[in-house]
Amino acid sequence: MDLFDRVRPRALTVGELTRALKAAIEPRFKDVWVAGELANLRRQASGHLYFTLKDAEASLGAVIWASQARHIAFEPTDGIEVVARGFVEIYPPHGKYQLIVQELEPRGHGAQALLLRQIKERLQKDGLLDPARKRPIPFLPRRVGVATSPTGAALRDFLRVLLGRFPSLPVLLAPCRVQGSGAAAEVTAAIRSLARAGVDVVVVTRGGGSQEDLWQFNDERLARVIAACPVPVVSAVGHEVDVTVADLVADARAATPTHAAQLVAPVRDELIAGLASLRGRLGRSAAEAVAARRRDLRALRAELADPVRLLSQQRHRLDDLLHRSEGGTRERLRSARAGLSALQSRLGRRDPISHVRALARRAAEAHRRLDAWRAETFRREALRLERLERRLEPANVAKLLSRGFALVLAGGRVVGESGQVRPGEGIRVALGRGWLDARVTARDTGSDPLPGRGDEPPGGPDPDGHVDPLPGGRY
Amino acid sequence: MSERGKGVEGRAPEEAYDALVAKLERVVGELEAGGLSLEQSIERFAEGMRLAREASRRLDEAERRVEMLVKSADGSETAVPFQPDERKA
Repeated sequence: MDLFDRVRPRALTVGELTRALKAAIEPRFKDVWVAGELANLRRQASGHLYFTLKDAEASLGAVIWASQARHIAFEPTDGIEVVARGFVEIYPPHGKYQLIVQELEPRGHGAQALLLRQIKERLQKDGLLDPARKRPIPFLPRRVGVATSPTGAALRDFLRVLLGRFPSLPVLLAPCRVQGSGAAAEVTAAIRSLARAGVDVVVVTRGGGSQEDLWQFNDERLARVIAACPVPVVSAVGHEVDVTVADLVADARAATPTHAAQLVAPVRDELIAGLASLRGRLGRSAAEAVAARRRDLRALRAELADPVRLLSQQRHRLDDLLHRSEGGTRERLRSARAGLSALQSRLGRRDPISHVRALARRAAEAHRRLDAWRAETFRREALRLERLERRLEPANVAKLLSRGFALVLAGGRVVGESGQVRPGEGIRVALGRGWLDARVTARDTGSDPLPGRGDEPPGGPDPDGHVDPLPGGRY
Repeated sequence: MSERGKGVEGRAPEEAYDALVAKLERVVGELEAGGLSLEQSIERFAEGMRLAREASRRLDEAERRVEMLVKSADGSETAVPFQPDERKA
């Protein structure tokens, strides 16, 4: 057994040593901040970012994996000072250690500008810098909220101008520090308090100052609270050349506290004057509307409601027409009159009344003659009838009876039809000379006046009804 | 963001001053243009007078009041009268 072998410790394998180093070192540097200058920056196609952090003394290999590299807000370049946060890793195959970077921020001169750009880009991405989302400032707020220092010149200037324009405008102040560390958080709280207390507009203001003084108004959280404020926010921070993130996010940016007061408050006297002018126009135009109707009405009434005048006008017009045509009219009248008298005389000759009288006379004469003719005719005819009757009647009956015809009487009346007597009745038969009383034994009410077609006369010799059509001989 | 557009709390929602005046201007314009019936004219006039009165009231009602929010011991905030320091130039 070799002594040397005995005292010499057992050799570690490379792997064993490396594992031991890894176990000793990595837990100690799990989360470290390292400041240094960027060098040897290499961006791989995969998106991983390899670089060296170095200072005067040493160099440290570093990598930002692609997943983290995307979140870096600035563009890393060789030579800039940075602060890297990450952990130390030992990579056994290469026997090297490096910093696996989780966050990377610029540091020192220019760092603020980079940070500001980063904040603006984030706000931009969220749409908070979009001009379209800016709200109009109320024309006449019922109460104005101010977030500023109660002792600053900014508040004094703001109130002087605001109350000069509209003396009775209510103002609510939320006091806060406007510079130094922590000011951003105080301004944020003040804006929230004002929104809770109830105002129509919030003014955030402070006077001018150095970039460092104004830096608090670039705070991202403050910017987001301004954007989310339920009422419009006016930002008046610093002077015209200083534009802060708060200015960018606010609904209106005022260059100075005085300018903010002008944006927020109208001039009361101007409003009153404008209102008085409108009220005057209102009254005048309404009065004019009524007056115009009254004029119309009066004109109408003048035309309509005075018939006497209207008639008189017409008469005048008529007179005028007559006057204008007078000469001719007179002449025409004269000739018309002459013509008329001629017609009258002609009419006189054919006087309708005398004409009617003559006709009446002729009619009466005709009537009289007609009457005379009728009377004469009646008289003559009456005489003739009388003569005829005298000649005819007695002679005829006696002659008929003497020729064998008989006149049958019953009850004093002449019997012309067998129906007038009944069998068994007594009848008187007048003959040419003397009469017979007889009794009806049978009758035939037939229409034929001659026997032979009905009942046989009593004791009749002609049963078959054939008789000589000629009368006489049998009675 | 959901709170956007909320106005002064604890007050009935009322028409903004400039909206009132815009209405009044429209009414006056209609009257001046003529062409309205007498009844419409009188109605517009009454409406105009109402708007003018309301606008005047808006200008007169505000009472000068500068207040400051102060935190109480229990953390709540109250508004107290505030006198701005005017001694400084």
